Amino acid sequence: MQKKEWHTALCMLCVLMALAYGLCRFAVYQNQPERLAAFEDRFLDLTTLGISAGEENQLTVSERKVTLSWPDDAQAAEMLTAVQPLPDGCRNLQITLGGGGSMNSWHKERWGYEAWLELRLYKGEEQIASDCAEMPLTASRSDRTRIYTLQAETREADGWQLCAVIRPVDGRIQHGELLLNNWEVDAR
Amino acid sequence: MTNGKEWITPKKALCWLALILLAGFALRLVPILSYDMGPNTFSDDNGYLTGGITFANHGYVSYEDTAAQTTATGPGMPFLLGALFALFGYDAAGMLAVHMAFASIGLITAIGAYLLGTLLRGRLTGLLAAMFCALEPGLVSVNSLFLTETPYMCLNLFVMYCFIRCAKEWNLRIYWTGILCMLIGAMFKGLILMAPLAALPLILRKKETLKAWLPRIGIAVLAFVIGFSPWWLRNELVLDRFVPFTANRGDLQLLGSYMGWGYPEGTYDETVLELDAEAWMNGTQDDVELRFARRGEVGRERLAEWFRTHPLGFVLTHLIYKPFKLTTAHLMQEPFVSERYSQYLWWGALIVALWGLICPRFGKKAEPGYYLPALYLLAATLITAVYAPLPRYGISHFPLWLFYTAAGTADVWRRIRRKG
Repeated sequence: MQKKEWHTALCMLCVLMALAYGLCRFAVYQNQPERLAAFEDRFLDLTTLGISAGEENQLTVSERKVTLSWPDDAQAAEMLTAVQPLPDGCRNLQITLGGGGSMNSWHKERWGYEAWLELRLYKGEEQIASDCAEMPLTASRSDRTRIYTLQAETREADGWQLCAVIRPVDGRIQHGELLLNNWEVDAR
Repeated sequence: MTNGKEWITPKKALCWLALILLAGFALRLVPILSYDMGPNTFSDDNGYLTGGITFANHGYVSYEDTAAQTTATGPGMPFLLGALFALFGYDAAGMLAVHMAFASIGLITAIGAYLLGTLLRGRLTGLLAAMFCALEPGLVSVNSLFLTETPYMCLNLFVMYCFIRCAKEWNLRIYWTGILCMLIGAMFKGLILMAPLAALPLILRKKETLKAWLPRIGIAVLAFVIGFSPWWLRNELVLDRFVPFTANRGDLQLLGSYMGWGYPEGTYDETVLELDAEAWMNGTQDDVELRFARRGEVGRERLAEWFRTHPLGFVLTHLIYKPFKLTTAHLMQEPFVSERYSQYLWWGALIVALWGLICPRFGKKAEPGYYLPALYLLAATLITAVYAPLPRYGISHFPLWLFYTAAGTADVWRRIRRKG
């Protein structure tokens, strides 16, 4: 091996060591008990959000999971939280959650119903902003969820509400269910 | 790099390569844009998607359960997807952008195939290998989902190219590129540590070469140990034990005990149900790591029983049945073209690859190192047959098979031109 090779090896190993040292520090920091506790308990307790559903719809709420189901021939279904206060000085609100339910789509095709999530921001009783996203439910099992996210600039808002709406694609919808779990709120 | 005349100039080859990559990118958009948020099969890809977002937001390596750290996956996917999600976001538009970026790794794999093909058989073979890697439906389908196979195959190919190239003709930069690719690749799958070994026969040819390579091998090992030490520390903190890559192979071992000739009675589903019931009775139903480890225990017990009761069936299964299945099974995770059509295409590719393997005996002689990818394929397939006998794990070997398909096609093309 030539001198140049040894020098390069030394330099590269030093760079790797510095990187590894930084990552080791990060691993230790992340595993501090208070950081771990914050990571493990970061989800909203859904039983405290005052979640309600439309007539004829059935709602099951537990700490980390809410299930909305509707009967055959329903015209629509909806569930929504009570308006939740925004923390002072919050400029941006992001909600991340897992969504799943009875299969209603494949590629661009939809059948039966469409499932939408809507984040509404309120100033007093007036809705001043919103963000929405469709949940194309492509899983063959209704208990399989994937992550969805909604976000909005809060501006002058003082409260937020999350709503899930089921709309028929062609007239009426058949019995089905929607599952939302692991709600995470990031208010900055 | 290769002897003999090259009828494609380097400039022309680059133009062709650019066209191939463009076509490959366009093809990858088809399965991605069919879905509003990109495709998702709610299998491993959903776990990686969730893990990527969790890493981007909180800096923890997790999988399906967003509230638990895991060792079921290596750090590669959370790092890579976490970075892409941090860059593009994960709303509907961001998700599509991340899918496109991730699928584009498949195009880098095609560049790797071009380099390897050019190195070992000439520019025409390189171009054909790149074309096959860019357009093969199974690869396009796997690239469009968030699976470890995509970055792993890419890095595996580059590691092999770099080390074979250095063994043929020493180059410091390429040697370090190979080491870094190996280090990053091991974050996705530990099996990548086998790729540099593909160059070993070339190194062992001469005594002087071996002498020069001993310290180089030592440096590569040292670089790997330093680079992986944070992951080992993290696993020690999370699990209280040494985990070199990932902790869970349990489910795969169990699955593997239901494939082949003469395996013990029962079905996978029945055993999983029994083990799940056992977990509920023990109160460990929410501990995924423990449940998968238990499946591994039962899988190993079944494999031992299989060896005791049907030793011949066991040996033949692992030497013939599973490697054959791994090689010939074609995976269409995202069915954007007919499954039957792409299976036929893969069979055709394998037949031409076999010609690619033997054609140097009947014409243009093989470059030194031409059979190294084949040796690697043999070893990697046999190892995979033991620990992960599912068709998906065979797809990591597609680019190397396609290199031989390209060599076979180029050979046929040369023969036709010569006759014409």
